[in-house]
Amino acid sequence: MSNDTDTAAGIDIDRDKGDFHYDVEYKHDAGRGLTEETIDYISNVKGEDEWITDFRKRALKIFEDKPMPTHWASEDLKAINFDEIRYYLSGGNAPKRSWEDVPDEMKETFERLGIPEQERKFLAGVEAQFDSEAAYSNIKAAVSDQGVIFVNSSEGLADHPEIFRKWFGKVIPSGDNKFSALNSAVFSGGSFIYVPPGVKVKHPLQAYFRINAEQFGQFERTLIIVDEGAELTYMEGCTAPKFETATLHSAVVELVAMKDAKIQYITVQNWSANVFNLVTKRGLAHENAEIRWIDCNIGSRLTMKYPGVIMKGRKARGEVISIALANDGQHQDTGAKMIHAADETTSNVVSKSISVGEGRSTYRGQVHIPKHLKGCKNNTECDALLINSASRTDTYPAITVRGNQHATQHEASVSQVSEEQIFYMQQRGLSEAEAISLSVNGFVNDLVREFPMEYSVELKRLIDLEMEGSVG
Amino acid sequence: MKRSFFDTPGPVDGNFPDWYTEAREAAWEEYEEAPWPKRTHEAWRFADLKKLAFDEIVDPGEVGEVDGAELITRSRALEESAGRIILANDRLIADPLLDAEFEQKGVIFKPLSRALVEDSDLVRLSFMQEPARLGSAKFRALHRARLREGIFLHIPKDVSLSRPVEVFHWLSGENTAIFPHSLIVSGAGSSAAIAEYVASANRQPGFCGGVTDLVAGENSKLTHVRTQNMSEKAHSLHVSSSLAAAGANIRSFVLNLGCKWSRSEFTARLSGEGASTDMLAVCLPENGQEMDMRTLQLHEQQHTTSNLLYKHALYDKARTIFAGLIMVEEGAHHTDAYQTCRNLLMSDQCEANSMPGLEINADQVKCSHGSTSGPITDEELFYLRARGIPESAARQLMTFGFVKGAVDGIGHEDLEQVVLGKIDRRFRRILS
Repeated sequence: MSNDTDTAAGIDIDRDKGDFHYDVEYKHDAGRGLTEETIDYISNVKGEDEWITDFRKRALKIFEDKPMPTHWASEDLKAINFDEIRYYLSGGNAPKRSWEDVPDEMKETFERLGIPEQERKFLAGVEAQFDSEAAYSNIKAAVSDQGVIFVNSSEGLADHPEIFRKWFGKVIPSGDNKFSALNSAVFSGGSFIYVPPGVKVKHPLQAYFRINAEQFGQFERTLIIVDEGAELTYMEGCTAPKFETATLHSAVVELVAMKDAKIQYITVQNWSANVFNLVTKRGLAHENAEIRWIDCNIGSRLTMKYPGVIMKGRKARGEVISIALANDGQHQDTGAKMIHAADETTSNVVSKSISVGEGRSTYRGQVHIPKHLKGCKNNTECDALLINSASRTDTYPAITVRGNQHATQHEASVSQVSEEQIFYMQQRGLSEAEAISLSVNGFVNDLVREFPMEYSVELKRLIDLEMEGSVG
Repeated sequence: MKRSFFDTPGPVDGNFPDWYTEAREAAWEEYEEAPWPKRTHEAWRFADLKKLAFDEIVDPGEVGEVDGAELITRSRALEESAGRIILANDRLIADPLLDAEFEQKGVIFKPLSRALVEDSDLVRLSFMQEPARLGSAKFRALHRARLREGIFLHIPKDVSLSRPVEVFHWLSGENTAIFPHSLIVSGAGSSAAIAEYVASANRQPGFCGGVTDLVAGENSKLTHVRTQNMSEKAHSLHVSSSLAAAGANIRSFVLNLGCKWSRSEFTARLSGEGASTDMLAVCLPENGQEMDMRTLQLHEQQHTTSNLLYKHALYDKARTIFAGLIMVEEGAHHTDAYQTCRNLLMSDQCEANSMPGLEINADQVKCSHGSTSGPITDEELFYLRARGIPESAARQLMTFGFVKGAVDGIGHEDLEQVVLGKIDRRFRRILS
């Protein structure tokens, strides 16, 4: 089944920051295109149970039947050629990359972001030098003493079906949308986490380490179950630009917060400009539980991501905090989905987007409060900042409220970095670039503070970096 | 409606120009070929299409003399107007009136069928020039093919119509369908106000598929008020457009009271520098009424301003949909655009859907939109009750104050009084 000759060509793609080429040999490669055989191949390599293979095949059928959602989403989706995509590649032989091969621009980017030397090599794909396996093992050992299960998706389903099977594909059914069906058909990688009742995990768990042990996944599948009264913070991604070889990234993330549980899911992602990033993320909050999505999207050709919370139990809370930055040739189509399904549930959405150059950012939201419920509240705020005259922004919320026991409010504004502001700061000795960067940082500042400290520092630097060259 | 309109529309009476009759026939083909709306189409999201598809509708019959006389006596609104046209079932039932003073200044205010013959070239310039951008292209074509009567108002350059003109559109008879057309054109530097009242003569079901086009010339000022108080069994699908040239200002106000199902599409185009528009609406649905409001604020040039304020109070099992889009096109720098939709939820069974949207493709733009849905708060009620006002009256008072904010935007005292009178009658009925 191996198509090694195709492999090298498949990785040799257009990168915006320099010609980047590695000879990589993969141990397992399902080839290009997607058929039932592809799924058999993946299931076989992973040694999966029959029910998982069946689940994948049913999802494939749904994926094939569902049309592209271009009646509301960007026409750009049509540019994805599903027959050209490689749906499964896995390590085995570690890629032979060396630090010398990394382009200077990228090294410089790392330098300026202040990313530690060891991590840089890891991020640049220079493996084996960054001992992620060890770091991952340390975390795993520390939390497993408390009974926390922290494994990848295949291990989760194989070793702990009694815990994970119950919720797998329940928060986001395969048929939810075309891309969740695709993910359900070919998923690999991602994290499966279970936190037992009452356990409050002190340190945030990071996908960062997890993923490296597994290779970055294109179709990662994450399922996090936090049992009664337990708490967890999970972080994925990093602020450094990820020079992804794959052009399609389609993840599914399901969160389940049992009674009184709390989950905080933090994402910071910075994709290269050729990537389609189409992600389905949703959480299910039981009574008095809280789910917070903190999301930062930078880069990619098209990102479509609308984290959601279904508030199923009384007094459940849902929150989405998101920052998106769209530069030339990029479209950040992000938002939030808040489904109120019990009394006294509250949700909050705060979204800030920045469009630079010819970048386009879109907010798309859904808030649904059905009848027979009492005391539900939603607050939605979305603000957009336009930097250049060719920058674009759109807002498309949809809010349904039934009955008179609820209150919702939605506000959106669009503004510009004003000439007066810039002039004022220049008078005080700042360069134009510094002035713009300062006012952009002011715009996102209250959201950046929601991120853990090391992330917020990197995030600010990253925004500065993206703003470069946007002046004049 | 689907089935009963399979027959082609009959030939129109009168000596109409070829451009008009040819386009009428083409429109019928366009209607038949255009697909029926689907809920998956974004322009019809949340709409209850089952309510749109009804099939008993017939072309209107003549209104008898006795009924006609009754409708004429019921056609009272403004104390003083500059002119009046009364139509029932898309036919003129009384002689059109226009003050001699304005007739001498060259103001045209007459039934469309006459204007098509007497002022053909003037009508042609602006007649049905705007496409239906918000989902009802099929029904706009139906309107054009079935159109029988309407009004044409034309204000010459620099003429100011100091008092408003009025138009009454009556719908009479079981399952009658009317397609009233209003074309209102103001010349450069002129100003005018016009009120149109659409109502059913009785409680029977029926359909109104109207089109209103407002065309404001440079630096002119147009105010348009439309009230819809059809029977609670009727259906309405209204497509409006406004086009403001440089420096022009268009104010439009819509009051929706009647209909089992009504949909209103309003596109405001700002096509000249410094153009501005105010879009106002009040919807007061009760029982199982559904009111579907779709709007587009289209900024095509620099330094244009638009301001939208829609206020809905929902009773019983009422349902509203508000879908509004602010579109700032490339090059329309220094645009100011605002959009506010507020839903006051008066029962535990009503449903409000809001889709306020923005698309910004220009620079130095100030835009915002806000949408709220909520009940009258206990604090507000407590305050009024503490002053001895019974709860039901307190609720009515709060609601009246809530919708008055939008009525005040009309900026013409007499017209505001007419609208407030209609709102007050509705509240009294709800209260009793």
